[in-house]
Amino acid sequence: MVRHLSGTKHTLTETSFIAQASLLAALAVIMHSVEALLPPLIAGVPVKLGLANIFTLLAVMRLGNGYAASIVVVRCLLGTLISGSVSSLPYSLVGALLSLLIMVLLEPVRRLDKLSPIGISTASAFMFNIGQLAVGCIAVGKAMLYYFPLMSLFSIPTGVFTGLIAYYIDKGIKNKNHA
Amino acid sequence: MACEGAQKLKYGVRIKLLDVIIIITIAILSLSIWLFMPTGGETVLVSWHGEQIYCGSINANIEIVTPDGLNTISVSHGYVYMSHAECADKTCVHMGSASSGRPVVCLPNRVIITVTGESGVDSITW
Repeated sequence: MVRHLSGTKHTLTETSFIAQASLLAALAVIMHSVEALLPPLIAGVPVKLGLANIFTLLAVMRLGNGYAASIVVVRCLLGTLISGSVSSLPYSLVGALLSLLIMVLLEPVRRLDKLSPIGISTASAFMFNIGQLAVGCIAVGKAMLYYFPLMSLFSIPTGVFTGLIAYYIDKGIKNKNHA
Repeated sequence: MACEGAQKLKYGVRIKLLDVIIIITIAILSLSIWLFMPTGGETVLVSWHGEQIYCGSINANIEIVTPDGLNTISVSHGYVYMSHAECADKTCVHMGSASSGRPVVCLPNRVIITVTGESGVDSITW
């Protein structure tokens, strides 16, 4: 079965999509688990370097929304199993789904060449933090909102960093016969 | 096996206008919320040598002097801070205003200013 990626001249088979998706999912799970082990970059603020979002962005850019959604769900579930704290599941799931949503919404703008992966990635990092804050407010109360300014300010450099990595990976992958 | 299909990587991302707009919007959003954030906490408690000498609302405008006269605490405009202290290093004066989770303490004179309120959470972990 052959699928055409909209906007490219190359034809890719479905198994190639599946293989790419599983590779990205595995990498995302690794990133998520390793980041869960690191201490937060600023003491007291639960912001991580959202490196697992690189692969969500790559999936949206190259594979389409369905595969990206499945990669997000797989990464959150398996990452929770590996990192061991189930209470982090709602935070990461809601955050990752929100950031996926903003990636999906901004993707057509990127195809029109009006936006680079850096902007999408920054917006998705911001939405990730908003998702985490929303779950935090439900769990803990209004006190969580005190984290909001610092977290969203901090989402800008992490978003730019993640976007840069995603951009270079996407550029570096050869698109010839077997992507 | 030569890499005949390899593209030459040109380093550098073309940043588009929309990127900058997004980043600036996020920065403005977070900074503006930071400026309008409340300090949190309603009740001021001042204790001197272990006993409470004052308990009141943070919205009062009042000055409290400790019984030995060495420290003066000012409550005004929603802030409470140590306005004057006769101690060696004056750390308490430089600590600024007390908030819930961050009391202002004068260790040599044993004065503690705490703020408690509805946001009783000091830190969160998961």
